[in-house]
Parts: sequence; structure tokens; C-alpha cells
Amino acid sequence: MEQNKRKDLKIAFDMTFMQFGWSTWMIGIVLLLFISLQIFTDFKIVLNDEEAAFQGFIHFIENPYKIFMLVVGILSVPKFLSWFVKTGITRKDYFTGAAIAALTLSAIFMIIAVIIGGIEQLIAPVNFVTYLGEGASWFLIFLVYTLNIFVYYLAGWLIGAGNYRYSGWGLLLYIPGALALIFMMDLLWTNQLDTPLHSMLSLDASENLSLFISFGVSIVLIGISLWVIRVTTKRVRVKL
Amino acid sequence: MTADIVIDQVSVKYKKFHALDRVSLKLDGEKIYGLIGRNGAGKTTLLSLLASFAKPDEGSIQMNGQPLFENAELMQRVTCVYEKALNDESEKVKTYLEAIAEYKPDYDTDYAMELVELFHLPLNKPVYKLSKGMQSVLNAIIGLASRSPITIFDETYSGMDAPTRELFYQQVLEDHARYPRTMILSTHLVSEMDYLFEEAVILHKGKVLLHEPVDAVLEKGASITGAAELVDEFVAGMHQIHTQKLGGTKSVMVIDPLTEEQLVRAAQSGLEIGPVSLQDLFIHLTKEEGQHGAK
Repeated sequence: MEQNKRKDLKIAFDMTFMQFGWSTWMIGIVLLLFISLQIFTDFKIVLNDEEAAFQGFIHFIENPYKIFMLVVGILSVPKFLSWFVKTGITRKDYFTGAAIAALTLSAIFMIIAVIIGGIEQLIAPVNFVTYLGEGASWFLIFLVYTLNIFVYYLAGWLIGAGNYRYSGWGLLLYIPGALALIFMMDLLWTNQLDTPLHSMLSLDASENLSLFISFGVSIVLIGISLWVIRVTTKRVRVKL
Repeated sequence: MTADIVIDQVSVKYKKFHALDRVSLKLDGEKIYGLIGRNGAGKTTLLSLLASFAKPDEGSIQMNGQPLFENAELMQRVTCVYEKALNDESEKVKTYLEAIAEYKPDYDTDYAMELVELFHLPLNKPVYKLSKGMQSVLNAIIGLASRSPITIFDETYSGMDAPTRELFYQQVLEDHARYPRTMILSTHLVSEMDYLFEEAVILHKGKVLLHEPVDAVLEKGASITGAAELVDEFVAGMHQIHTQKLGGTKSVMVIDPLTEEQLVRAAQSGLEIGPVSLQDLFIHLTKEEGQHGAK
């Protein structure tokens, strides 16, 4: 048992390291783009105050992070599961390792974003706003964004696993599943959407309770996604 | 660690096609096995089950008394290399080997480097730039250097040229002598590999046709050559697998062990008794009606 544990942690470490390596290009390019935009564009002229407040780095890199995670998630089963099983690692150890690695990577991404966001505040303080509201603490921002980035990996992982196990037909079921997951997370966290579910969640609940519900439902959604991925890959035949 | 494998009534179906049909085999530790079969006989399917690449649809596979599939301790003791195109691996050969070494408990880096030199494998070249032959060599090196109690080579050698194959066979024998372990080599190049095998398993259409020590298999078979009438008289009632006729001379292959008395009788009648090779047995046991000429 102890050896198992060490193995999945080793997988987690190796996968985090490798996937982070791939992401350095993306982060570098986004950062460069962000800095150039700050220097060459005066947002106060182009945008109104409200829009300008959304131009912080954290907001800027959120979508690149998510797209990166989606793509890496799709590759997870065909690239990593296949390699690990062929190297003599169980599907279970791969699964645990990959899940820990995805969460760790999401956290690392947000630590980087928060640090750059902090530096940005020191250089040119703006009235910083995220979809968590004006008064949201840095810690809350870190936590919620990490969770949302992680969910994009899960969405990709679902699609990759479904396609690997059931070929083209799997996509008919797993892509809508992944989209549903992303859509539900959007409902839970961004205040911009006005949907029945969203208004129901925040209608007569205090702000704290709504946050509590959002976290609770997110955890359940993540749990279900992880369960589906595990069931899909538990006995999957590895392609030669 | 020795590893005894028990394959019990294992079946694998691909839609309606039976790739393996109730296969049962016992592989005791530390021998070199030859897994012989025609294309599509089920060799790769059987080997992928041993490597836990897939789970059998029916039946069970146990190693040292424990179920093998998804068993972390056992899975890491099995190495299966096969003829695969490594054209999407962009790492350098060195990095590629190092990554595998990290996860193989019995891997011997020094031996791997020795083999790299022996086979002239370029360490600093990206894997996808290697020639087909060199990719085969890379797979073979991984198989040998992993020193796993269960080491499987699934036709890893078909991309290599003849001298490289010889070098590889030599390493198989030498390293097996140094570190005895179960090695399974699947092949249809029977004639050039038969000297490696201690036991032969012949698979045909998803079933085990034969599993015996190679010596015993060879002792069983004989070819009897001589005047057609005398040969016919001699082989009457024996299990004949192949007949060739040229003029008045006839040659018949049988797989019945000959007794001393029969040998003496053959000598008296002027019949020539020759051995039957594993290759001959394989060809004639697995041939279909209407193939390879008249029976």
C-alpha cells in the first residue's frame, strides 16, 4: 500500500512538472501581450470605468489558463494513461496522480496570476474588480479561480477519456457532459449570467450562503466528473 | 523474484471475432518461452493481457497466486515491448530512457548504457528521428535493461536487420543466464530463433495448439524418407503431418515418437530418419486446407 501511495504522488509530481513546463510558453506570451497592451493602450479612453476595472492581469490570463487546461485535459488519457500503463503503472495510480497534478497546476497558475496581479497593483493601482464582487479577498479570488481552472481540465479529461474508450461515439455523450459541467460552473460563479438557476441560487440567500452553496455544488460537480472519468478508464484497453 | 503465471480459461472477443478462445497456460518462472503463431493467431492479444494492457472478457490471469490486472506490485514487474512506431516522441533517446527507468524497479542503467553502445544507438537524437531499425533497438534495450521478472518481446525484432537480430538474440541468452527470469518472445521467425526457446507455445486461431519443452517437441517428430512403398508401410497408423513425393522417393513427416525397434526396422529397410524442426512443425500444424500444396 505504501508503495502505491508513493507511486501516485510521484506521478502527480512528474505530471505537474511536465505540464507546467508546457505552460511556461503560454504564460510568457500572455504576460508579454498584457504588458504591451498596458504600455500602448490607454484603457480609460477606449473603455468606460467599469470595463477598465476588469482589465487586471488575473482577468486577462483567466481564459488562456482555461483553454490550456482544456487541451491538456483532453491529452491526459491518450498521452499519459497510455504511457503509464505501458510502463507498468496501474490505471488507478495514474488517475490519482493526474487529478492531484491538475489541481496543483491550477493552484500554481493562480499563485503566478496573484503575484503578477499584486505587482500590477503596486505599479499602477486600479479599482480591481472580479466576478466575485468588489470587496472579494485575494484568498477568495485565488480559491475560486483555481477551482474554475481545475474544472476546465476535468472537462477536457472527460472528453479525452470518452473518446479513448468509446472512440467517436463516446464524444456524443462526453462532449455534452463536459459542456454541461462548464456551463453549470459558469452559472454558479459568474454574476453576469441571468438564468433561472442563477437567480434561484442568490434570490433569498445571503451573500455568504450563496458562496457556500456555490462551493458545495462545485464540489459535487467535481466529484461526479472525477467518478465518471475513473469509471471510464478503470478497465480501459490501452491502444498499442 | 520469480513469477509463475497461470492463465485460466481466458477468452477475448472483438465484436464477434474470438481473438482468444478459452486459453489455459501455465508459465513457470525463469524460462525463455517462444510464443509462435501465424498472423492473427492471437499472440499480441495474449501478451497484452499479460502486460495488463487489457482485461480478459472471460477467465483469469494470476501471477504468484494473485490476480494480475491492476495489481500495482505485480504490474511494475512486467515489461512488454512491442514493435511500435515512436514517431510522435520528441524527447531525446536519453531522456526517453531515463523516464522509463524512473518507473521500473528492476531497471539497470549501466546495462542499458552498455546496450546503447553495443547497438550504436544515438543518445542525443530525438526518438522520432530514429530509423525503424533503431526504434526497434530502442524498444529491445528497454525490454532487456528493465530486467523485469516477466519480460515480453512481442516481435520487437522485426524492424531490425539480420546482424542486429543476432546481436539481440545473443544478449537475450547472456542476460537470461546472468539474471534468470521469465522471458516470452513472440515470433513467426521460428527457424532463426528456435535455439533460444526452452518451451514453445503454438497459438492457432485463438487456441493453444501445443505447449511443450522444445526438446520434447523435437523428439516427437521425425521425417522418414525412402522408397515410396517402404515409407508408406512404415508410417501406416502414425500421425502424419506432411508428405512430399519426388519420383519414387517419398518423405513423410510424423509427430509420433519412434521406438528403438522402429529405428532398427527403418535402418534395415534403408529408410532415412531425419529430425523435424520447430519451423516445420509450426508450418504444418497451422496450415489450412488448400494451402502450401497438397497434404
